[in-house]
Amino acid sequence: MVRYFAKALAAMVAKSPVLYVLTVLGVALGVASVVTIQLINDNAIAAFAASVRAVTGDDELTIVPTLGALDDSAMRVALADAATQTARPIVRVDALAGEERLSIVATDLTQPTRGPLELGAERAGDPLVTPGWIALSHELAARLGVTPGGTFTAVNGSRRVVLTAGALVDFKATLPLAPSSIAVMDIAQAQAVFGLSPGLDEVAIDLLDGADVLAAAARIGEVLGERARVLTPDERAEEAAGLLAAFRLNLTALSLISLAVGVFLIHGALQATLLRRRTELGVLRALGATRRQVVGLVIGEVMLIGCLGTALGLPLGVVAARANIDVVSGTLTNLYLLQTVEELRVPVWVIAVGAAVGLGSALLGATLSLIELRREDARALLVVSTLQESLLVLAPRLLVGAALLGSATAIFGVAARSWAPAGFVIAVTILATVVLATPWLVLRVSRLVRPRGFGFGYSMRSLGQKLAANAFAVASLAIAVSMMFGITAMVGSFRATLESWIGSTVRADIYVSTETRGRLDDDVLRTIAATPGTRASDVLRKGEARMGERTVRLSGVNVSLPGVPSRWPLLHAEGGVLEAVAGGGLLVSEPLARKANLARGERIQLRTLTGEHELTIAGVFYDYTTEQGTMVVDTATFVRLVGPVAPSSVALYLNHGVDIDATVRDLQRRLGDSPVVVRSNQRLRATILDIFDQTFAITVILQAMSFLIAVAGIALTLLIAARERAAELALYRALGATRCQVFRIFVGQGLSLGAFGLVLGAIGGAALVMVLILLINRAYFGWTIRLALPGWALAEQAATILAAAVLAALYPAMRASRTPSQELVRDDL
Amino acid sequence: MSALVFDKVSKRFEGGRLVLDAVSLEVPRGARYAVVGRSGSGKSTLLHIAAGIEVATQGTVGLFGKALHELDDRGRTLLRRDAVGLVFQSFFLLPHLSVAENVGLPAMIAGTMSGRMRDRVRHLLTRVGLADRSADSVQKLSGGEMQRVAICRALLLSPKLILADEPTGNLDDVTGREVMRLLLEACGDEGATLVYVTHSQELAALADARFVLHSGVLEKAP
Repeated sequence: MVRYFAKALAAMVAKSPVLYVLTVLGVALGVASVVTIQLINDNAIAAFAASVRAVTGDDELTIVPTLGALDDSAMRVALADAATQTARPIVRVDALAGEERLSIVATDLTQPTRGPLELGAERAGDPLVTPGWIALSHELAARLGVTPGGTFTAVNGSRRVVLTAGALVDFKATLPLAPSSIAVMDIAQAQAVFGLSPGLDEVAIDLLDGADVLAAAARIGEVLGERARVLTPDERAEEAAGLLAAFRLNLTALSLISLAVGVFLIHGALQATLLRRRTELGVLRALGATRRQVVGLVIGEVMLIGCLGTALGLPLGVVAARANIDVVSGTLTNLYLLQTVEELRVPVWVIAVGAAVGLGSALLGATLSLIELRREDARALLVVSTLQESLLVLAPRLLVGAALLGSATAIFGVAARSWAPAGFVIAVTILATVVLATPWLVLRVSRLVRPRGFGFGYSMRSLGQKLAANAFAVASLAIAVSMMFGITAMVGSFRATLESWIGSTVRADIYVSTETRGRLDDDVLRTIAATPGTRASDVLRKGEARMGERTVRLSGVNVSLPGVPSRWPLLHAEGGVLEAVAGGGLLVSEPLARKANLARGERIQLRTLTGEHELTIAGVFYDYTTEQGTMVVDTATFVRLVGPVAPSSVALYLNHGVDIDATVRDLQRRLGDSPVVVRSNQRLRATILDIFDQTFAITVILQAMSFLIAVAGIALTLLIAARERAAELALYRALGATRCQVFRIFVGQGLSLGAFGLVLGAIGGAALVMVLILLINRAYFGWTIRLALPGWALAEQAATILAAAVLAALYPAMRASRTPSQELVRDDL
Repeated sequence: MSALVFDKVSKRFEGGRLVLDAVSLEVPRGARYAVVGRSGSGKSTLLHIAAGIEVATQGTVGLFGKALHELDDRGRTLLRRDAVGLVFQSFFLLPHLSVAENVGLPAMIAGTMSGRMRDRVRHLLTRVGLADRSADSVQKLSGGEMQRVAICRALLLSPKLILADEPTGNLDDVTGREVMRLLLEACGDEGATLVYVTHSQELAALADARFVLHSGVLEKAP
């Protein structure tokens, strides 16, 4: 049987190599899309973990503040524990040197260092005595163009400082994923140079050998109480993973759709292969081969396709991930302020998942065929398959089942609003419905067409003939189109919503802020305040507060500016809201209100560095700046809650008739070399939209992968058809059809498959966008998005789909047009 | 001018097997010729060469005065479309088309489907007794009915030559005789020349002239 397997396989590949390659490609693209996303997800988390360990080495515990910063007592508590060997204070500074972003970790370098930053005894004093001493990675030093001992200028907030490249450190030697932007300073130097307020961001603890890590964490945590948490490195990485959970879940869902499309492609190819070989398999059974032997033969072929597809898909996925890491890294930095991902690590588990997906999808694609093979007796295998009929009988029943499942989930998930994944279940149900409705719809619609000539109408009419193969091609394209349309419509709606939101929130004429997450100095504030032509100015202060177990962002602004309309579009517009905020109330952003179940009029407890405070929610406002949510209070309330924190940005409202661009230039001139960013209203709006576009760039890659697989499905189906329908094509030729006509018929079929996929996909996409907007976005991000279909983008995609379908049909059409009339002797019309 | 002229036509397939060996035949217009022979004797190849589906290895074939070997594939296709109607043993009806659509297929291919052509489809189906089945799927038809539909399809564009390859081969004797009678009558009414191949001496006897093909050599039967 093994020898027969090898011979049969060789014959199959030799007979139709393109078909075989397309099938393998389907598996490969499905594997690649999953591997790409999993690699990107994993590396985002790993980069964060590496940035933690690059400096502190393998410290077992880290103390982080629950709010604001840690004071010196945290160090004392850490050192006092019996299990502690050393404790290291850490302050993090975000700085910019030219275009290069520096993630400065300032720590106590008077202590001997471990890990990559070992200076040796003779240089141990350098970090303290050399002004502006900083240790850089080799890559960062090269990008900055500095050598050891050289100086460069860096900016934090509105402060510009001169730093000395004291040492070059190979962080990647011990931690390959450590970002090259990591730089290390002595904590005292950093606090002095950057003018930082006292307080620590972290305390890193190295325990004695053999110490019980969890017990030590519990002891230290108990002493510190509510003001701090004690985390292991894994817990820190988990925190980052939790932060990214919604982002990762959505990407994973998209990659699984690509995989589903790939499974359809495999199914279509295998079904066609098996249909063609039914007689052969029937003869084998008639000659004494057992059912198990025949099934084993088919499984062997399927697994080989799975193996080849996996072998191709794994490197393809790695290449795709590597090519797109910058895009995703930018998204993560924009959305979650995480470290950039510079290098790609390929963990074994991702390879294992890729292999499982490749082999699993190949087996899944063959499931129907294998079930049929097991059921059929030898005699049944020798006659033409009844799959078409069984498909048609089965599909409506499954359709009803899918509809019931979707309805039940909708009622449970939407009405109760208790189960966030309900949206995904409904989305899958929609896609399943599209798939199940496809055979019925293709058959019905193709029968409605009354061809008057041998053209497009005839092509459409022919689709009902090889229904099983055609329906699978249409279904896989419909899924890809549903995803494309759904996501495009969602992103377009989101963008339109954002534009409208920007219109009501970004109302000042000029915005001044820092490029790093720093504060504006008094000198800068005085210069800004002296801007001529200003009728009002607003300053934004940022802080944090604890609400139960949740840390929330707190923004302090001048709520009531004379002559300036409200900048917070409210969910329920009612009068007196701003007055209530000015009187000590607060505004809650929509994502926070949804996630914490807050409503207008509710009184909430906030804990800040100044103590416990009770405030009334004056209103809930639409906000798209962060999915974590934010609260807005008036400046006076903010100072009462957080303290006199320096502003992060200033917004200027100019008198009517004042030239905004000229004022921007004038302000930039007067600020001299102060490292602040002055943007006009238009420029800020454009910047926000640029960040938005970058955020969704990754979805384009996934859409493209699904689309490629679906188009490969069309090519595959038509190639199969060119072989399966050789006798029919020969009949056309015998009845006087020219090669050109046969070519056109096949291109028409490609177009018909594309058109069916497009229409079904558009219906699925319309349903999907509603689920994405109304359920998934609200459940995972908490945003309200107003439906606004991007007509042109959708029209372009529709045109691309049809064009791709035609292109995919060209080669099969060429093959079909070469069908010799002699094929008519075959008795298999 | 003769309808069909074979002049020392030979056909050798890949692998060297000689299927037709210097076959000469002249079929006058309006004649009904039968070719008999065993399976594999080259009967179907003879018809395929006559229709321009296959090309002779040696010799010349004339179809209504046009030398097929001088035409390229497109030229032979267009000549076949205009001048030849084909009837096959296995009917070769398309399951996704209705009875009427199967009959109308040559007009669709020729781009001449019109109201007049639809009338002709109806006329032909009425003539073979299937007018009331025109909207049915061909899969619902019996073998004899299928072959009657195939005959209508062959006659649709009023070809001057009908080539029938074992038209009764898949039918029982009674149905076969009925179908053959219909084919002969229809060709007579349409003024078409008919060349058919058959196993049956009884059906061959209905022709104006009979030929026997044996190991690629064509001889006139007494």
